[in-house]
Amino acid sequence: MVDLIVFLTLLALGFGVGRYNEARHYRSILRREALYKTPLVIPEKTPPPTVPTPKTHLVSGSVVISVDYFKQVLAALRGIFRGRITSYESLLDRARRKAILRMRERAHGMGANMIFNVKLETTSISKGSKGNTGSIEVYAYGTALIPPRDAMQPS
Amino acid sequence: MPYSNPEIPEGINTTDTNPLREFAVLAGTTLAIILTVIAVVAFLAERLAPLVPLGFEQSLTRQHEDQLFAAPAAGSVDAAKTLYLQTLADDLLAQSQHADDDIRVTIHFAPAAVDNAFAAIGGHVIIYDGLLRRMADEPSLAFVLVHEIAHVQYRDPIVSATRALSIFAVLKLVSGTLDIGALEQALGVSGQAALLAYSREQESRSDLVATEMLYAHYGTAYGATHLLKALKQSTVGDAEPATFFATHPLHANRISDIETYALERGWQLVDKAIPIPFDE
Amino acid sequence: MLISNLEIVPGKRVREHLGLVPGSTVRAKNIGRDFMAGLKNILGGELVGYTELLEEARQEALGHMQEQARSIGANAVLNVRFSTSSVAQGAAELFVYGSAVVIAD
Repeated sequence: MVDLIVFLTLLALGFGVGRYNEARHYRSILRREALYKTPLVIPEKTPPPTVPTPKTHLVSGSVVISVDYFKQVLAALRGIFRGRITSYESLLDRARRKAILRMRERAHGMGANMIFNVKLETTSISKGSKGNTGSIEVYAYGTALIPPRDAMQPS
Repeated sequence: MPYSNPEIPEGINTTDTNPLREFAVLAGTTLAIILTVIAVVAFLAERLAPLVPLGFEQSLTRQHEDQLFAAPAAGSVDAAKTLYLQTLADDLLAQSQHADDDIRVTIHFAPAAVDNAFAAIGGHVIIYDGLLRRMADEPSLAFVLVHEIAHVQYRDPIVSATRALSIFAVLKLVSGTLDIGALEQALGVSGQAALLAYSREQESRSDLVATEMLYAHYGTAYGATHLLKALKQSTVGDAEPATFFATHPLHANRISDIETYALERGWQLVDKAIPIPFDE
Repeated sequence: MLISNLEIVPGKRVREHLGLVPGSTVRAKNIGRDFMAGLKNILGGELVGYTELLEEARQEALGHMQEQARSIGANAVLNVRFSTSSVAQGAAELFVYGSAVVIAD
């Protein structure tokens, strides 16, 4: 009986706090995405030949986010029936966007105007309750093109 | 330069569902499926378990009878009590409407200060000294005996055992599939609750059959209500477990059920106190 | 040292290709025993400590790669790729590799 009460409490806590955190997270992401429109993110191998030739440097951004208890239970239930595990979709979306944002911010700090050959890597960091993923890391990396300072082009 | 990052609209990679609603639907469906399977399994257990002949049950237990039930020393008070109980039980059985040649009930007296009696498989009924001492008179003791005998007649021990095993197996399967630790506990609780509901049903039926047998023997069903009222009195102050988690129905409910049953058939609940022939 | 995940360096020519240079660290990724992480697993949210930890680990791996490149005489590493793999219970290897080159104008 006690276990049932503990389970329900964790569920409620996970739902309430998790939802609040998620909403706050998304607000922060949207705000910063609006701010950092440059540098551009281009996942292509070959940068265009520009004059003067820009400097290049590796840039990266990463984030580790965990999913709340309610979402894990929901995913487990969903696992019995078919369908999209909607509870995890937001987790991955947030993590990807945050990682790319951080990469952008760093590149911006270097004075870059474009990031080429952007790649993403997702890793499961921990197991949640019995096998479901508890937290994931998304790592974004690419090469920033930094135009030489004496001939800064307007973005 | 033809390089740009136009804004991508939201909601393509994510779905805007109400998570509470989704949870309710999924959990509800899962629970419904589990409950249906349990009901089917329990129904099968109830139908199939009694097909095992009582004789077979008895042969199963006969091999272990010596280890399970210590025979009292010949000539001791315990032996006398056992004989008294067995004789009383045989008399009650012979006079009841459901007297069946196949049903052989073996009474075992256990000299422990435990306030209980129960029926096990193989027609064995165990009565503890603690309960015997509580009995004010013979009709009250008779009620306990016939209540347990009724369990044996209706094959309740083997039915409950089969039911419990089957439900346990189903829940193990389900929790293995679901793989959430805490949910396993939650399922365990609901399985127990289901079993207890069936158990209360059996107890009610035993009560009514016992009332019938008492009336056949004594001409009054007084013993049944007298004992239960005494038990109800003694538990005033200690909380009775909530019906949901109790193996027996509440004392008040049992008393009123018996009284209704007796009145429907025009049976008296007249006092007929016959003492128990043992120094209590 | 120039590190890039492009195959070319704009405005420069690759004079020598010196081959694969790997850099790696193995770190424990099992965070089940950490109280705060356990709490976050119930409530959800970013695990800042672990973000930093893994960032550090990757920097370390990159450092190893640069050292390797330097030791064989390269001055740049191109076409850098990352890879993470679970090697033992609760441990992951953070692996970086690229092509060590000598670039000149």
